[in-house]
Amino acid sequence: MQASVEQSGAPADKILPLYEINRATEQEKQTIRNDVALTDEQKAQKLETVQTARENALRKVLGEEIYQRFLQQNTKP
Amino acid sequence: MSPPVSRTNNEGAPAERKPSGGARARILLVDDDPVNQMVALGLLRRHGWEAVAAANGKDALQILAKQSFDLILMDLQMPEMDGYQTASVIRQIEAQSSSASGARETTDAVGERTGQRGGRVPIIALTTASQPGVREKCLTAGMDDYLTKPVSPADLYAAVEKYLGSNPK
Repeated sequence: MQASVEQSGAPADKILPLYEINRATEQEKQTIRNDVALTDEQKAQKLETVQTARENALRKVLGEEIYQRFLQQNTKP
Repeated sequence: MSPPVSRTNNEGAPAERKPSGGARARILLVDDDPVNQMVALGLLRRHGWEAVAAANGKDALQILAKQSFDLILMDLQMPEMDGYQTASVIRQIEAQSSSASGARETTDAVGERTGQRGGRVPIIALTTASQPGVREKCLTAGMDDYLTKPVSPADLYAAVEKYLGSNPK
């Protein structure tokens, strides 16, 4: 199996920030999914926005170099 | 089997622990989200456990055919083969392996590997809070417990220690 950023685990100082990003993202997604005032289309749009915010936060926490490596490892050809 | 416990996401700083010597407990993390993988692997290793990740159920079965583990952390929603299916297959293989154990020469690699450490590997599901009926579905699929994602360090450690003991060994 190819060694990768995720296979090697997050660097110690990144674990909690990454966890916080995941937690905030999941809470936000949950709120959107449970919002009865939103249509399915609106939910999809908002969930996409949350996902983009998550990626931006990841880039910030991991740093550009690790983030790009991470993207390369997780982008299907 | 103890009933699965829904856990709240308490904060908890991941204190680094060193293994106390001897073989470290081995954990297979099955999750298709690479960020979840990074976080969970980092937390588990920081605690002194050996951890390996698989991206879906099929990957997990391939890894289980070659390596033995003391515990499996299983995401439920994954491409290729989801957590429920994967857990069911693991339990079926373990059961076949166990029932043939009298005069057996095990030919099934997964059954042999999972059976090496006591015959039945505990499986803890990783779920999102929105999934209805998750407890029953997890039990039906043969899982032992579940955690709600994102799993806090404190909850992760508590759940793993419940099944492995507090020693990383």
